[in-house]
Amino acid sequence: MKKRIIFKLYYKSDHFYLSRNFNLQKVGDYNWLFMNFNFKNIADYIDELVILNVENEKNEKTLNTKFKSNIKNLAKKTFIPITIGGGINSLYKVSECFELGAEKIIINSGIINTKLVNQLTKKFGSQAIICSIDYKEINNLLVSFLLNGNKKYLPLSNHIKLANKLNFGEIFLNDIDRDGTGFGLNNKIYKHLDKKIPYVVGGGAAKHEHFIEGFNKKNVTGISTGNLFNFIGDGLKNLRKQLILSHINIRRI
Amino acid sequence: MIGIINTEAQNIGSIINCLKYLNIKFILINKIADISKVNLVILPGVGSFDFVIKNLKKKKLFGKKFIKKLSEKKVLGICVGLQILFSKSDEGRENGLEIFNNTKVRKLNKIGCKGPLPHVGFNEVKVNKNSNKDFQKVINNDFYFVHSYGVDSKNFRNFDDFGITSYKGCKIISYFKYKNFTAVQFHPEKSGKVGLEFFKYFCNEKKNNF
Repeated sequence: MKKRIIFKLYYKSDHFYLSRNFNLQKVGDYNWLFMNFNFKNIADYIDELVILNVENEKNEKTLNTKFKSNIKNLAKKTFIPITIGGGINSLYKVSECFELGAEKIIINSGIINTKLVNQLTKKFGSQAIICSIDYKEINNLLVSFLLNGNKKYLPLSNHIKLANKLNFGEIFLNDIDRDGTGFGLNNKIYKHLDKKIPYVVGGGAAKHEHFIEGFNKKNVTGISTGNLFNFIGDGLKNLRKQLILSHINIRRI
Repeated sequence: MIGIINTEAQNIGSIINCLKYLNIKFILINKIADISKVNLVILPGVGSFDFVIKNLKKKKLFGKKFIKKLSEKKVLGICVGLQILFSKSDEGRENGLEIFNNTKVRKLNKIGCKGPLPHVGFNEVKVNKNSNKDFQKVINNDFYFVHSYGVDSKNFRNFDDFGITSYKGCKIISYFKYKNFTAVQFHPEKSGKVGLEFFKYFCNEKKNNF
């Protein structure tokens, strides 16, 4: 299988955002994204798009209509797999995501609702249900956090074990402190990727060297980045070129 | 004109988005008579073999009359739309359209696959060297796959126009052309630029690219 470059965008109140140290920076609305950001060009050079809905409505059991219309519009011009996450708390919401054309959905803090996770993997198949884990390095140890980095949860290795046990199809790992910094991926993460499940690592990847290093690690099938500013213009196209030159098995475009 | 058979499958929306983006005109086919209005029929599918066949049966888009109508047109099968052209599938009980007799769609781990299922993500299609040169350009690319069932490439030993994709020990038919039928196991509608090129090529009504 081809290794993937995954792009992360956040959504709130009709606008898209990028993230830096888990603080959101406004980019613009859907039209702005395509007009001023040349999002079409970005979408051409990534392999998967992740949209995280960070609207404050965690108790709602259906998707917000504005969010839905934004995703619909995005899907009209973006012809790669789309993954949706953020506030997933019901079977119904997940069905709505798939109706919008999503290929996968992401569960983060929702991992504590193991009953829902079991229902989802049974109904939609493990491959469509992804576990996202945010972590921080504290005194040389990796610790996971829930609720957008606000609630300390488990030692990272235990969190990964739990995700494997719950039969998630894929695990996304995000380093909270490196998020959006461009300082490079955390190399302490790789020793935790021991099971035969696809892992996506993120937080800090900006230069092509970061991607090459990450992709050469065992079990890393994707690298996520949310730092669009590093890839303005031909940045992503050049990144792909460099990866191919370094014999990384990414898809040919 | 292009017609998309309304199998009620979830990928119809994405295929419609692609065609609209490319300014390709189309209609949805819900009954046999609609087929007369089009030259190219797209047979989309996600989900299970039986789900698609049952929906076709509900719309009376099944049986001899339907096959005869299809044989007058160019047909493009996508994903489960490829699988239902065969006679049976490990996945269900229903009979397929039987364009190919005696060929069963198999669960990938029964034809040598040692990896996790479904086979999901971008993978390579390698077109047989005897295939049409123009097809090779469009199809010898990396496309997006999501499936657990497929057709073993061994079944196509005596054919010319086909493509193979390898996944963890199995070799599946990811593309073939047979008579007026062209079919792909991958999802061009989720494959970015190369997918759009695929639709541009096969939905071009001025050039006969079939």
